[in-house]
Amino acid sequence: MKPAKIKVYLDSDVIISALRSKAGAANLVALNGDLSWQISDIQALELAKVCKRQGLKLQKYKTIKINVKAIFSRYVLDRNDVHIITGAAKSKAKFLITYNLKHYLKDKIKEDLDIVILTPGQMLQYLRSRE
Amino acid sequence: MNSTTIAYTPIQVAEMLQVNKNTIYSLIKRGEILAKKIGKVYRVSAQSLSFWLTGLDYDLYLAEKEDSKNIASIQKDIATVRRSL
Repeated sequence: MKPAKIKVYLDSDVIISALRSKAGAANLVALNGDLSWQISDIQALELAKVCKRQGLKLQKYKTIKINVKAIFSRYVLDRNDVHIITGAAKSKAKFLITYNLKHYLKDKIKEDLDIVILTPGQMLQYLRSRE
Repeated sequence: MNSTTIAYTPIQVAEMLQVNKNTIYSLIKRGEILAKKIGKVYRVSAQSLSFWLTGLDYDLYLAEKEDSKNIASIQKDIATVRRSL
């Protein structure tokens, strides 16, 4: 029997990187068949604006509705990133994939929310280690 | 690291990491950096060096490096948009 897909949450920098470069680690994560991911409604709005600035065409992604809660602001250094943690928690992701490691309090997030924060390359390395 | 170079001398590795060459020889002797002895000299493969530095296989290291070309401008735009949301 095929193992269940691992739920991950992709930060916007990973999604935009995937759209910018097909050979990059972000695109390899976004297309990896062992992973499942969705974005929040707030992130969809954000991605639309960033794509416009970057001259990219936004694709359609599975979207979940979130209410950003102040309680999650304890996990980020920049309050503007709080919707990413909220989305990761709401989608029950096991991993948050980002290139912005510095802005998240990874130990606290792991301890309280059981979400591991990795870069795209680290996620792919983890998948290889399971083979 | 240059993506076309397949191996480095211990001196090149020391220059890249901005440490003394003796530190690199010591790490090689302790097995912390995997190196190949060819005759009397050591060579450190790019794969071995990237794994030692990043914990990533060389192809994954290169894939992250590919993303790193655009990441500064992407993160700048995301930060600007997030402030306006």
